[in-house]
Amino acid sequence: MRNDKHLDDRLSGYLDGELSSSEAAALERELAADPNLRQLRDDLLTLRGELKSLPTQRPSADFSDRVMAAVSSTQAVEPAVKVTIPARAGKKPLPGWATFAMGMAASAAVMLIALTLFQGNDRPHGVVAVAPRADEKDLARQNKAEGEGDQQFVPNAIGEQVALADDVPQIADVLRKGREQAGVVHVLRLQMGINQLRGGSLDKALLSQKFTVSGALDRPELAPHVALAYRGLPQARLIAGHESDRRPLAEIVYLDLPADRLDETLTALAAAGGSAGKIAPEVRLAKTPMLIEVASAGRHSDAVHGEAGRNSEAKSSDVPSTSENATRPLAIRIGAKQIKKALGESVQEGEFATPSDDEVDVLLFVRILAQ
Amino acid sequence: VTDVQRDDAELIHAARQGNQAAFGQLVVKYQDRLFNAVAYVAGNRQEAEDVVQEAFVQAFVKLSSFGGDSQFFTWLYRIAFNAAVSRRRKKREVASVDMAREVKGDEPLDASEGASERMLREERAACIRAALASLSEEHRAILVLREMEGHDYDAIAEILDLPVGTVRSRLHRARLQMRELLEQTMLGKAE
Repeated sequence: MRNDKHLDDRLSGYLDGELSSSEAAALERELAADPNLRQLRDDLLTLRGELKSLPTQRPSADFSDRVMAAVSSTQAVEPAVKVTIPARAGKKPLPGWATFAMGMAASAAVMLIALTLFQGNDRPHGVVAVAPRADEKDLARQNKAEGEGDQQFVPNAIGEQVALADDVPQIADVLRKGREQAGVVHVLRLQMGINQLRGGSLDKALLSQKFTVSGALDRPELAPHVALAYRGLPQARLIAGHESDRRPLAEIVYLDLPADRLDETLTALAAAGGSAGKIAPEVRLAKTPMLIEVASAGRHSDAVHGEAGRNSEAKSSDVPSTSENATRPLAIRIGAKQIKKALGESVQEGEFATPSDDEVDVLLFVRILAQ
Repeated sequence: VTDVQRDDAELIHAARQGNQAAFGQLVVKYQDRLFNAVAYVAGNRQEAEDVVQEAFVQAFVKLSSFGGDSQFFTWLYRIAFNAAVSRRRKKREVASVDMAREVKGDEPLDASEGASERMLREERAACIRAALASLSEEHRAILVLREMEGHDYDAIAEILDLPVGTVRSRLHRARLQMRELLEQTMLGKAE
């Protein structure tokens, strides 16, 4: 094989018709003089023919229907706004990607809707904020109707690392402004130590807020609904982490939450994570009728507590009965393994054997119930 | 401006006005080709369907940011390949080992072909698929885009966000690697 890298590159350029005529003529002279180079050219041409002859693969027959269902379940979102993170008064703004990345690595509570695109060489080359344009208009209209003047609800960013004590009220405030939008849920990320999760601290936090807790193992028919909603919900999937600095997704918790309980519930959830607990740096709006269906299904179920095998100290007698009160808090928990199975993906042996000192993500789908 | 670009521009315009059916036409128009490319890069059909679906949803969500400087199809590829890379990075699992087993495709049988010729051809195709699956993802992606999809260097550079010069050198390394893998495979079979 030839060692001249430049010449090698030119051979590919030649085969692809990407050389200038003078470069091609020069290479042809070298080909005429060099049998090894001719052999390499012939081999690469054969390879091209063989690759072209590989069978065409086609998606499932109902694929386009599923794509359009996923498209319908999302909302038109105005993207590609270069991130300009608004600093709060008296605080320094984030200077850029480096600080953002460090903040993420430190599990900092930056409420930021961020989509990071990666180049092939792993370097992030852009951070964009996305804001739900369609809903902005709706919400602005609604705000106006409610006598709030021209104030628009823009749930896109509270930019800056903030202490947890400041963080929860801000998140609650953002969520509160988005209430009463039919079919709108917020997607939050709760960062937890796996030990806290396994120890039942999330259960305890929910039960302390008088949630009716339904575990998917108790209601297996719910899992596909949540998994489908998760699959069709780009906001959730982006949060749950296709990016390298995300923690493993441990489970999804759907919450029907009365607006007046927001602050204390979020505080309790954040505390459930122990020292690693944080309500996530991102908040996104999503519209997904499927989740509402899940909630309805859960609301009509008997109150059950937690997933089997979870070592919680809470007792099922602590759980209030369901279905009498439309604004009663409701939580439905679906484990990551169930989500994956419901999506038709195989679960590898040991895949969810997270080391005990790891942090994991719990996605919170939150629908705010009107008072 | 080609007819394809003009047709796409009309559909994109309609989709931006809220016409989901117009976007549906773009999905139907491009899903097969995009799926085929992603399936060979990702290494299994389920993953490819997830990636392509995610790409279409992202494309719909970000449609207003499509400037029309490149072809819609190229832009769509870029979204899909970014999604595939991100998903793979997250999963950290080598799905490609399943490729040779899972990817059977829809290849029609040639009735005039004898059984032994067909076996030889299928064996060779299996070797090609196995070699392709053994490549690094970046080499596999660039080979699929060039050799199977026929994109030129400018389009590949845009899809993979690489300088054009890097496209040529990476493509050449991918070809040499593939050739070497095939030689090893054939030698292994001969022994």
